Amino acid sequence: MAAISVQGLTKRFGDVLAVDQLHFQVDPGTVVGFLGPNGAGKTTTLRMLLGLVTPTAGTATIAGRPYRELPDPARRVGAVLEASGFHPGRSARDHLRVLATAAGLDPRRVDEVLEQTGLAAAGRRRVGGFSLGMRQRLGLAAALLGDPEVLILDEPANGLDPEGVHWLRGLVRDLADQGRTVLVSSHILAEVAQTVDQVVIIDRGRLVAQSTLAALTAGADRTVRVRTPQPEALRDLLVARGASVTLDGPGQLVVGGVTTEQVGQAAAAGGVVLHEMRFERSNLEDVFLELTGGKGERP
Amino acid sequence: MTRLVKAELLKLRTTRTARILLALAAAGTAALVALVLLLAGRPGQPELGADALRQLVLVPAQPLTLAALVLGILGMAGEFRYGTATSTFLVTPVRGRVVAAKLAAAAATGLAMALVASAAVFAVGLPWLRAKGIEVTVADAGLLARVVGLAVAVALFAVLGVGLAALLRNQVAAVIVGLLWWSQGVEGILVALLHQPGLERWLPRGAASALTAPGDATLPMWAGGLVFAAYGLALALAGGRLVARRDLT
Repeated sequence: MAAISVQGLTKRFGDVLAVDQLHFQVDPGTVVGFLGPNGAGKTTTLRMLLGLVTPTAGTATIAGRPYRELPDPARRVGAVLEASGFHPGRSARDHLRVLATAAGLDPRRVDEVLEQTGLAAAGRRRVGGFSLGMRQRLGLAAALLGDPEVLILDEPANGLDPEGVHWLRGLVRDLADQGRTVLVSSHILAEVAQTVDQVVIIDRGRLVAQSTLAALTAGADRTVRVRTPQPEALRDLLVARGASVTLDGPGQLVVGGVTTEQVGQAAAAGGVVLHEMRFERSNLEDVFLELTGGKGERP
Repeated sequence: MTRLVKAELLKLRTTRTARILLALAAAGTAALVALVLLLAGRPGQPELGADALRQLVLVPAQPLTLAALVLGILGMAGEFRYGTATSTFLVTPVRGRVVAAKLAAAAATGLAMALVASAAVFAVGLPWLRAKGIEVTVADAGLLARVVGLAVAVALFAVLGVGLAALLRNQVAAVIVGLLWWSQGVEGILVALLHQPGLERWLPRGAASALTAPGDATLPMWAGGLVFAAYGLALALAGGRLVARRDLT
């Protein structure tokens, strides 16, 4: 059975069709990126999946049941949602104690998840004084409280500094390695590209693509950006090997149709000095923009 | 259900709001009781006689009912104000159970507040009155009825606060509406507009007065209590249904 199943899911807010006949499935033990520009309907979809918003039509189930009918939901599903908040006067630890009490969980879990999310030292401080990144960590701590099989994370990287994003990536990878199912939303493909097995892409409330990352980028050219004091020499070497090369500013080459290894071999063979070389992920971003109409944020 | 009530009581204990309200209610109670005792017998003030305890136990009614009402409102509306409703309803997706637990926690807190206040009144009032040579007895059915009635009233004010906040969701709006109603302004205007002075005792605040300030103009205590409880439950039910249905975006 699918860990998460969304069938014909539709939500209308007045005149606005936020989610339109959405279909997708998430298999147990996979990490799926739920992508789309801001305003595409990601948050509304996740909130319907979690029983916080009632669908206009269609169904959203977790392990075959609507969220509201799950026995002990905190032990099965953990969620981090954007608009979920904390009482500013309550300490992080007390916030988690309240949730653990309501869910009937072992109180020891509170200190375990504080430790796991790096908040152990801040546990007794009031949340009012927390930075955005610490709040995001506390949200994750709450999601992990019931040791759930399924995790639903809505833009978890928002507000995290680079170190926090790095930590989050590691956490999601750990959760995936433990065999958990993770559905993680983002409006930036690159943010999740390193961690997800599959992507579900939506735009204007409709499904645009569900596939593996590899299949998504299969058609796209790979490019390598190179900086060298001998751009002409390297260009000739690479063109001779069948690559497409364009000069992009002084000493800069953008090379298509080759890997970084092939560029390195060509440079070594021709005695060309390289100052910098990197594989460009922008093509993945291009595919994403193309699929979602390329307009980015909409009001 | 027990664990949900426990969680709600824990919520109340883990912020300063409840503690500040309780402290204010306690301070208000102490000040009012002291004032009544000090001023008793002076010109224009009632004489303390054999029924002095009956008067004294209802002295804290105003600060207690106000604190309970605000406590109920903040407990429910705070979930929406601070966005904790999301995590609360993720743990307990059947939202009616959350509202029910809040009602139970609010009522229990109200009862406890009133009983502590009554105990304080006895602790201060009894020795004071005896020292003044006024003979009083605690073995008095009317006195007991007032202690119980006050506790029920304070619990119901907290229940009403939860219901009001569930209906309005906005904390500021709920506090303003709650205060206007508590100060008897809303019902007074309604009665004046309708030219029906007899109506007041049947309205929620008027019915509550049967418990907090029983007199000739109010319903009998038991009837006032029942009417007030009916209003409280109706409001809580309507608020609970609305909370259960609305999208939490």
